[in-house]
Amino acid sequence: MEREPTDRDGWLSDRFGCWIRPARCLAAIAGYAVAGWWSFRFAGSLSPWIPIWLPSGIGVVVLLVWGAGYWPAVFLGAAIAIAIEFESTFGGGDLAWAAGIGAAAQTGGNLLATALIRLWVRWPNDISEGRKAIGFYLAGGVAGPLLSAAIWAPGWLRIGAFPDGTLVYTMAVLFLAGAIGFCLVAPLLLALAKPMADLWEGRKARFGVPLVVAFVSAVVLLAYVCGTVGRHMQADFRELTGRMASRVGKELNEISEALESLRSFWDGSVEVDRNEFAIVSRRYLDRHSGLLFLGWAPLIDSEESARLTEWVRSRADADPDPERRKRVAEFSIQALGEGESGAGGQVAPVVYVEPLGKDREWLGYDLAANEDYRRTIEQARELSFPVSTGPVGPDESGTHGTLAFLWVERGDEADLPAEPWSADRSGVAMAAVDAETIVKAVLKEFAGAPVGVAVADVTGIEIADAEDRGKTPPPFMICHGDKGPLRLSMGIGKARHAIPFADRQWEMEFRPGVALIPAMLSWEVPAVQAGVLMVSSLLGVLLLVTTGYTVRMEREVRERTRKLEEAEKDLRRSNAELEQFAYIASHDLREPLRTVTSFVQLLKRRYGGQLGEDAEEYIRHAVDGTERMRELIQGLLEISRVGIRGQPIAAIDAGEALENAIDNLQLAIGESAACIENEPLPTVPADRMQLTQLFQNLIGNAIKFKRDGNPAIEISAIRDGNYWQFSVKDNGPGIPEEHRERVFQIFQRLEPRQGGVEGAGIGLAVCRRIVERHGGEISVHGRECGGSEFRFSLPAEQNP
Amino acid sequence: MKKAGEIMHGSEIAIMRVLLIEDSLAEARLTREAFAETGIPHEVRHVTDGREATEFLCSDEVANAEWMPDLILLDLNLPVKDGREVLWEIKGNPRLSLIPVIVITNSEDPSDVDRVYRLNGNCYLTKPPDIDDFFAMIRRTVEFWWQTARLPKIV
Repeated sequence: MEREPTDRDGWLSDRFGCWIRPARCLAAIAGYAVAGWWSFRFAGSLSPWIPIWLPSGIGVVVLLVWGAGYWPAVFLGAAIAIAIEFESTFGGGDLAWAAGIGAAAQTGGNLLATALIRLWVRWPNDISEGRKAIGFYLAGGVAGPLLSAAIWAPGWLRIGAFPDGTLVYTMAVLFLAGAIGFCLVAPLLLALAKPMADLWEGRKARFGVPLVVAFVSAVVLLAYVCGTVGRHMQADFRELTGRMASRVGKELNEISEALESLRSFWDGSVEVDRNEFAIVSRRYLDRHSGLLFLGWAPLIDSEESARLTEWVRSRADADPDPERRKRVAEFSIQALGEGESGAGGQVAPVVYVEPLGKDREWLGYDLAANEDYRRTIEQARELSFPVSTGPVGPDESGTHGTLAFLWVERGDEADLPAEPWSADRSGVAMAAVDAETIVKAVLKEFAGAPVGVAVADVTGIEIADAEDRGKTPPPFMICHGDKGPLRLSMGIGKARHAIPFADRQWEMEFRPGVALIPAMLSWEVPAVQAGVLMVSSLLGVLLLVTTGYTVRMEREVRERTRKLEEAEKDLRRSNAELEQFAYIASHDLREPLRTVTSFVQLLKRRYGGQLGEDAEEYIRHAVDGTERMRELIQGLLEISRVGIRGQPIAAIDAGEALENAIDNLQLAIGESAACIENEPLPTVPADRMQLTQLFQNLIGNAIKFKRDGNPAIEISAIRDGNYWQFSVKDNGPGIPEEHRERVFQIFQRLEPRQGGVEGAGIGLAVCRRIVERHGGEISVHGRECGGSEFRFSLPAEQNP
Repeated sequence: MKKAGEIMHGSEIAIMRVLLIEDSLAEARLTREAFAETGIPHEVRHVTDGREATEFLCSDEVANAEWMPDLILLDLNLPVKDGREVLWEIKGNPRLSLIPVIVITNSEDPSDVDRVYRLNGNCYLTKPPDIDDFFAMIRRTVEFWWQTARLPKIV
């Protein structure tokens, strides 16, 4: 279906024939990719849908102008453009699949649009008729994008670019984006393409400027709406995540409270045994799944370790739980991992821990053996509120957490009896917090709005809202909702919330996840886009139709003018031919007429007296007939001579021509004692001889057809626009109104032949022919005194 | 040199010999009638086109001066060969150029008149429409050339 190379690239095809197709393919791909990249750069942040406009318009134009055979180029170009957009908007994911699906959708839609346009509108064609313009927009703005969206939306849903349940929404936005792209961009580009450019003959500005304005307005409008919607969505997201963060914070608070209540438990008891500890702890452990364990570790001198050990073991029997009894019986102080127990002269063994824990041997673990823990304990000793270590983990089970210590001050050591040994010393109550569990539980609680959470410990760092947070320590924990977070902008950015825990400051960074979208979808954006689509398509149709109409009208006018000119030329030519024919005919008729006349006259001469009266009369009639014929032929000859023997038109002094005519009529003027007056006459473009003849005929007529008395003739001329109006007035009998048109016809005489004034009746016909040859008109009017006024016009300026 | 009506020694009456080159039979007839009315004894040879005229003038009769025209009446618009060409041939021939060629034609075109005289035609006459005028013109012409003017002898 590929069109032949057009004339414009005729020379191109001569030289580079086989290179045209690849060159065009490359150009299309490059154009597509550049348009996509450029659009995304400038408009992508405004709305993710605007960048589709330019590329989708380009695709249709390429297929229309260069032929459906270029679909691979469109496919590739679309793939590149969509890959760019996908990467930037959605981040990870199946880039290849996404680009492939998108490109297939675009190409399919474009091919359909192109096929329909060729079918309905018979492209290449003048698409400016109403029906055709509408068909054009229906094919390219509705049918094509529909098919495209029908392929695109499900495809991208399948690869997870959009969450389930948003099929309609996705289809709608993709359809709208493609349709707007066509409506705004395709006609603009087509106006530059050759067939349309020819058709519209430079009316591109009139057509293109409104479209460009519409395009820019649409971008601005959509950017504004998307911005507003985006801000709302951002605020909603912030609010949502704020709630989530405070939920986490609450949880952590309660854990702190757990520690506090442990301390007050200690404060209110003389001695706390394991069972009591377990019961109190249970209360909190059951309520907070994020609380891994609660524990108690007194801070004692290393010398006392043995005694403590003994004391703990001796308490084993009091425990109702057999399992626990066994563990406690085997109590010993040790350090896990690195570190040496008793290094600082002090040990802080975990004496109580609830739950006991199967894997981790917290029971007996010397906290002081761990550098960090010891430091934290020292800190806790200084302060009266919980202090936590930094992030701990991931441990073997992959958990992220932290330990919080609260110093419990017991009485002075000096007050303690030496025997029996008592473990009732100052130490730390500790809580092990599984941060991950807490966060995940909250995420689950807010099911249906999964986000990506990154938790970072930002203690001591100035928290600002600015994006530039180079000093932020890396997050120690990242949790996801369903399907992982995607870098889906959609106008929503990350939301950060600060959560204090113990003496530390945590920061939760929420990133919008895919499943968040259903809650965030707004229909304002598609609605605005639909509005833009409608306006732009109507505008496009209107522009097409009016521009095409104007062009058609102009063309029609030109065509008609051309036809008129041709018809005029034909007419002139046929008139000239007729004139020539009349001339030749009358010229050639004279000879045989002469023969007839001569022999009839010879007959009369030779046999005149011998034939009798009847014969005499016959001969007389015959001779009269031939005489009449001769006059008629002579008249015809004279009339046709006006055109045939006409001299070129030049500037002639009409006054001189008048004088010549008067000279020629000297005899008649003298005989009739005619009086001729004239006003000054102008110089006009004319044939000198014919102008003279014109005056001569008119004045001669005035003298010939006179009333009683002497003929008085007045000649004048006045300027009337582009013409000189001449006037020849006489005081003759005048011409009755019903004959005033007839007198100019050839061979018309108003007086009877016999006994009337002689003449063939062609004088005025010749006058009319002469005047018409010069481009004027002649007519006769009556005067109050009864005579006639002959008026004729001659052009004042010579026509080129 | 002969004069009409002059009685020569040998009692020969001079007969005017006229070559009439005219394509229209009607015109030729009229011309003959006109000649007849003059009363001058004459012989008329009539050819109807230019080629016949040339053939006749090249024929033995003329070559041997058996029948030599005293006057040639020539119409301009002849078929086959145009009258102007015939005129040119006649006036180009050293022997025949002595014969007066009288062009009688319908054309009033000044360029034709000019042409004829450039070709050394002897006179140019326009046929008047009226038959009486025509007869009178022929009479005057014949009388002039045959009676008033002197003609050369061609051998």
